[in-house]
Amino acid sequence: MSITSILNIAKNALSVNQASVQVTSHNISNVNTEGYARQEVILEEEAPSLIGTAFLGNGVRVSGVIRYYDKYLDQQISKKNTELGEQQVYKKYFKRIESALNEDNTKLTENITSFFNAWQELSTDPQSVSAREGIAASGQNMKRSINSIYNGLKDIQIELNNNIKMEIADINRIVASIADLNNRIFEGSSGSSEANDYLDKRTQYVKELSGKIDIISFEDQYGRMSVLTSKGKALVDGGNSWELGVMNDDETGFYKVGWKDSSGNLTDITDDISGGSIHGLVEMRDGQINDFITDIDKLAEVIITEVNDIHTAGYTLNHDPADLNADGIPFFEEITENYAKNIDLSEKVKTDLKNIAASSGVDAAGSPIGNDIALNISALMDENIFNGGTSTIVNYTSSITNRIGQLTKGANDFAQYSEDTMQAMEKQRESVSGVSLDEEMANLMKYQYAFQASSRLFTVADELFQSILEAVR
Amino acid sequence: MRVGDKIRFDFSKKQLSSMNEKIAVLQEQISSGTKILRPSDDPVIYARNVEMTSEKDINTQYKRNLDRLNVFAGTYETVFSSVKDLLNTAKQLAVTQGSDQMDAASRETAAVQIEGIIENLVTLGNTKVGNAYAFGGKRSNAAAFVLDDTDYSVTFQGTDDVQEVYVDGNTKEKLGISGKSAFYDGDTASVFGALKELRDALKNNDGDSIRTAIGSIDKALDLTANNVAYIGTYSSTITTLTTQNATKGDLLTTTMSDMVGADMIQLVTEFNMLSNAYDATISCLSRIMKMSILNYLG
Repeated sequence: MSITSILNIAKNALSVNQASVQVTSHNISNVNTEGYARQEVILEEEAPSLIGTAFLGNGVRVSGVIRYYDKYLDQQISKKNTELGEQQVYKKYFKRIESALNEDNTKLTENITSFFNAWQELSTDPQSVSAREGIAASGQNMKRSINSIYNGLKDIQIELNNNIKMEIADINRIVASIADLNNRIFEGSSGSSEANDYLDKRTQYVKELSGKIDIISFEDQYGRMSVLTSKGKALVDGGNSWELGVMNDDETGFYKVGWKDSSGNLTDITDDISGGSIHGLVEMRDGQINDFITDIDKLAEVIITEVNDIHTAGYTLNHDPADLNADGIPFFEEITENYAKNIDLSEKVKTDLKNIAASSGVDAAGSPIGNDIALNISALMDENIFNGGTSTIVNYTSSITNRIGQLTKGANDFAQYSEDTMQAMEKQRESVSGVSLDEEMANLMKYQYAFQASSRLFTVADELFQSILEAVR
Repeated sequence: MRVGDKIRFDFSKKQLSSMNEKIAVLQEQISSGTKILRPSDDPVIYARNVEMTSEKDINTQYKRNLDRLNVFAGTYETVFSSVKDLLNTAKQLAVTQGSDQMDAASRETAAVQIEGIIENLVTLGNTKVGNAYAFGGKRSNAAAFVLDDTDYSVTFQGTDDVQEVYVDGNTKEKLGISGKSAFYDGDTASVFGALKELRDALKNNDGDSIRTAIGSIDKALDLTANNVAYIGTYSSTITTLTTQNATKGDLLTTTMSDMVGADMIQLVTEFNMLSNAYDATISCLSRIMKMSILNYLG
């Protein structure tokens, strides 16, 4: 045992406490970093030296830097994030669809009612041109409401489709980052602060990825993470990653999700995805929003068909026995598809309001008499012409409103439930991995005092040296 | 359980955000005066409100239809009152000219007066309400009666049946009465026929025929009296329907207000409670921040 040993012990102690202060500083600086797991320097005694018959201690050394985390909790969080990612898409887009269908915005039922009321108005004065102006104006308002809903829903559907592409680009970025981090973790020394930071980042990426697509992830013996889709397509394996891509569906023109193999060929995996935001976007695009577009299309189709069937049987104010084209005029433009998109008053009605028929008969002089046509069209409002003859127009529009209300409410409730569950899990995670500034400040003082005490050892050793040197001088 | 700093702040942040969201909804409810702002607030009530709003709009249209019927009824009352006056004038002339004391010249003058009455009656029969001839029946776009001024015969050109309009769901009411039922008693006897009979008898200086014509005029007066009674019933029906319509409108308004109308006292109370909770959360957060070892370090 020599005085030099004391200097060595002091040197190691300074170094160890300095490392501890550094890790504590790292913790403090990352107090608000998402996904960060607090770290701690693990200290252990240096191997003692045998002096004579006794073992004398040799001070302290750093055995490693550990991160506090619960691996199983992190896995559960990732799994929950898949559900949350999907629910948030439903919440966001049902809200958008609700806004597109909200009666207060669209005035759909109000304008439909006004349209059929205008026919009633004509029935009270079948010769009136101003009543015909009312029909044309309310018909245009109804058309605008239907067009506006259709366009609003279509815009959302296109946005959903584009978002699928963007989410896939994001997924590709994330899987490439996970593969890169796998390499760094493998190359880096485990237990170092740097490796722990990479692990934190990778955990965060896996969580982010699981919010977008349902995945399976596991680590190999070297700590490298493999990530697969839930149906087994590899996304990350060690330092390698596989990209996803988009394929155009020939029938709909929308994107399908493809898995790119090592040769660059895409395999359609759209139907294999059963969770995450991608699944939510595909479901909304191909399912829910399509149903609403179909409903609005059906609404327009039935109105066009029913009104035209009655109107073409009527006599217009331009009735002329010598002109076969003066009657039998459809009120709405006759179309066979995309009714909600293209619904419009017929050109003949738009150019001459006298082409609006109110009567089903003519007198001997050839003038239209009666108001049957106007009455029959106005009566459509109360007739069960929807859902196989079980619903009126207003029943039909209100049921659409009811359905979007129920779906939006359900989506809000589920998303809230997922958010609350996630928050509870994050809270649990934070209780293990989160940084407490009070704890870190206490640690900082602890290591500071230890550092100061270690510094005193140098002074003591120096004084011992001086004493010896003075003795031999 | 360990409580990290991030979790404390995140929790408070979420609480504040959630309260802000609720405060925004309350503000919207208070300013709009309705508690149901969008379908998801209460899908069933929202849908029901859409249906009832439409029902109310249709009810308003029925009211307009009834108003039009009322205009027709008022017109008929005026017309039949004038018809009655004209027929009474004609009867007085007939009674006077039916006397054997009257000579041909006097009867000729009276015949001219009767011709004037017939012309007036044709004018009354061709009364218009807006664009429609009130007595035209379904043929309301052309004059109901045409006078042949060579012999003062009158032809009815309208239809026997009349147009109908909706006055309530699936209930229709006749839009007036046809000139056929107003001026004719069966296929032959008519108001115009009675007057023509008198006019011809006067022209022919035929006392017996003049006296016979008085009977025909009496029948015309009876027909007119029946018409006046019918219009009275018609007006009364319209009044009843209008009252029912107003009651239904009021009921719909009240029901809708109960369903979606905001209870201001409740909303303002909720607003105050949330506002207090918001202040308390901020105050709590501020005090938590002070509870740190950092405050005790030199």
